[in-house]
Amino acid sequence: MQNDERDRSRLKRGGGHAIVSLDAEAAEREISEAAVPEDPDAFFEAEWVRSVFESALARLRAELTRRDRTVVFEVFDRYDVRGDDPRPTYAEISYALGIKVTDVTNHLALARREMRRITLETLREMTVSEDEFRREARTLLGIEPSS
Amino acid sequence: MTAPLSDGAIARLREAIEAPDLSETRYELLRRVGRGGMGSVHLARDKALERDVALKVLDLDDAEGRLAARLADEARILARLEHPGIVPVHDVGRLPDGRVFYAMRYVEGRPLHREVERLREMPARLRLFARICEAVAFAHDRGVLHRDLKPENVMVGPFGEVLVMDWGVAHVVGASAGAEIVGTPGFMSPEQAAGSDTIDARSDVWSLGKMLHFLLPVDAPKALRSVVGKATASEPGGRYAGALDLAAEVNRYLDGLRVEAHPENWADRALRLYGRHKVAFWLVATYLVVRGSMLVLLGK
Repeated sequence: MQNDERDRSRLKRGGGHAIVSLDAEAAEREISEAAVPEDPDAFFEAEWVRSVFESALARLRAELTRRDRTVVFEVFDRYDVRGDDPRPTYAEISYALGIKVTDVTNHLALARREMRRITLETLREMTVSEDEFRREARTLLGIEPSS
Repeated sequence: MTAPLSDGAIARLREAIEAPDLSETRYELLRRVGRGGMGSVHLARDKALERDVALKVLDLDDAEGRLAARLADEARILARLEHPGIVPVHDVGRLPDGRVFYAMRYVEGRPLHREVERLREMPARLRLFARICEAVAFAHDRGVLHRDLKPENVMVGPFGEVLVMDWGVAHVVGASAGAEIVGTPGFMSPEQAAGSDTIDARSDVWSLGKMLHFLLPVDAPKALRSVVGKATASEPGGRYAGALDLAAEVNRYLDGLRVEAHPENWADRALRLYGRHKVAFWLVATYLVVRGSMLVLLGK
């Protein structure tokens, strides 16, 4: 019972959010139109990870902008976020942004370090206990939580 | 509104925040080689000594540097273990993000749990196991316990060399993480699982016994099963006194001698002696058959 209550209160499960009534017809239509994932649990996990990273990324951008380090975010964004195949080289990014290649390396290291810190901070805020935080951090880093 | 992150972006971000930032260290990241329960393992280049090393980066943050200091203390103790079968930690440090790393010699080989798929013959597995015991016994002799012996912590090199890794790391990391129990379930002795602070070499013997069990086929001979039984006795007093005794027992089995853990009946003894003197047995048997046949023929 206590565990049920705790699970219901977890942000990951929608805890802390007001429940609003739905237009039944519209909801039915949306459900029937939506693609049904083969594995709902895996789909849910993937969406949870996506939401954590999106939130952390928004905070990283805001923080680096506030510190007048937008170029740091720009390097990170080009290489790690938008860097779909083919991934740009450091040289290409340095040319595009008019900075030295060594700056690309340094900016990337800083942004990654900050991204890690902010991601873990975001996760801590989204979890209700230390155990849950550690478990989710492991999932986020691609490790299966130990049973 | 920005577009949702693609799966590729998620994968890159995961990789980006997990990759160690070695910008303020003497190491240069080459590639990730694996992941364990405590953290990730990377191949890195030691720029000062111009050699490749295995860099283990722990998941635990260490903002105050206590874990790094304890690991450094441990590394100093382990540096005394000069043995071809032991890979000690030879450098410890902290990443700019607070994570702790330690460097070990990079061993090109396969962990034991993968190597067994290649080693089909039981004697080969037993000889390898005896070498693991000898390395562990060497460390015990110098007062160092491993505390987390398991197939994943043993590497087998390309020439069959055996290397036992992660010495002393488990209990330092566990203590820093606030864990009362340190080790791997299934390979951890009962006293270690109970959180006893007075464990000795026989705790590692228990883990070695479990490792031997892992290496044996399900239809292993009774004598070897008895060796496993003795090594993994629930009371430390019922086990082999040391890893060398366990190795000696396995070697006795390999030599066709009686193992102390297994009381033999006459059938066991006959079978063992037959196995040990198979060629002589068949020579004598053939001689007797030929001699008997000749006597019968000449008698006619």
